[in-house]
Amino acid sequence: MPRLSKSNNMIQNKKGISDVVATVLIIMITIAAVAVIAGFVVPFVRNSLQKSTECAAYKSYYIFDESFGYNCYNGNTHSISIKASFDKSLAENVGGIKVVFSDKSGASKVVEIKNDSVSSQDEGGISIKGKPGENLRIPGPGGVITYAYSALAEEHFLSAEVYPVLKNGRICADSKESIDLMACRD
Amino acid sequence: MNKKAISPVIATVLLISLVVVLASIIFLWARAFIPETIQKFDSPIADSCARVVFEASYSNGVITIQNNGNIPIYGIQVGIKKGFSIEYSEVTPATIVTGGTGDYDVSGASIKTDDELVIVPVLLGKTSNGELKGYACSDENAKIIKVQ
Repeated sequence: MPRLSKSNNMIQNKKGISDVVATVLIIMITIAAVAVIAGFVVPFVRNSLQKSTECAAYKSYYIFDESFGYNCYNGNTHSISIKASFDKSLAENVGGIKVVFSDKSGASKVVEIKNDSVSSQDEGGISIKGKPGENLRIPGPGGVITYAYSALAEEHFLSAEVYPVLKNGRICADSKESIDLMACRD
Repeated sequence: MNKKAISPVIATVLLISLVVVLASIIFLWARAFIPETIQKFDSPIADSCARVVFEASYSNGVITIQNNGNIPIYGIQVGIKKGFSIEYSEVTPATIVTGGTGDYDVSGASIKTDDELVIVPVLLGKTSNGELKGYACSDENAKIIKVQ
């Protein structure tokens, strides 16, 4: 009978871990994996999903209101009436609104309106129509506010768009509403 | 050559689990794009808004609503026209049954003579989760009254 070398003998006699220990190890690894998924992956996916859809609810949240007949321009003063939806739960997350004025060449100007920001009737400034001294504010749930934007001498805008800016800084540009501005009748 | 892979049963279970997880993620994501619908009498609540018939009057900080239709009014939103703006005030809901009359206290709002009030009815509807929720009708269903 041939004699086995010492190294061959060691390989032949090597023992693995027992079935019980292997099972316990697999269960522990599974529990650890579940804990990691529950702790990091699930909140991450939920957060990502929430971020990617948070603007969806704001579709048509702001619209141009026609009840005052003031979506128009008179010289360099461009007036727009913006109405908010009645949904109070959505209103809580709105930090401001952006209004984009565009001219016929496609050039545009963005004006941001936030609560308590300073109004101005100077060129390039915006104020609440009929209340020029008051600070700006955004329409509350269901409310309508008419703003007057004093364009620069060379600016003549023919359309406007409005969309909400959320308190976390997210700009919901896909939720915009637009209107063509006419010459004011008065 | 004799290497063994996972059994067909485990492979199937893994595939099904993956599909279920992916489908759940897509469902949660897509659900946010579907607007919440509120129903009343098994139809969209806006249909009920069109059938609301009421009269409104204002006196000394109280708005009186006479419900002349067959839809109960859950509450009202009161907008005050100020210059070129309309601002809405909080009004505590109080249901007015069909044919009934109810008062809403708006003394907290700064209402003056010659102000115009926009009164929008609020109806109680049911969301897809079965939750009861107030729904403010549109301006088309509103009544405008002038404060004397």
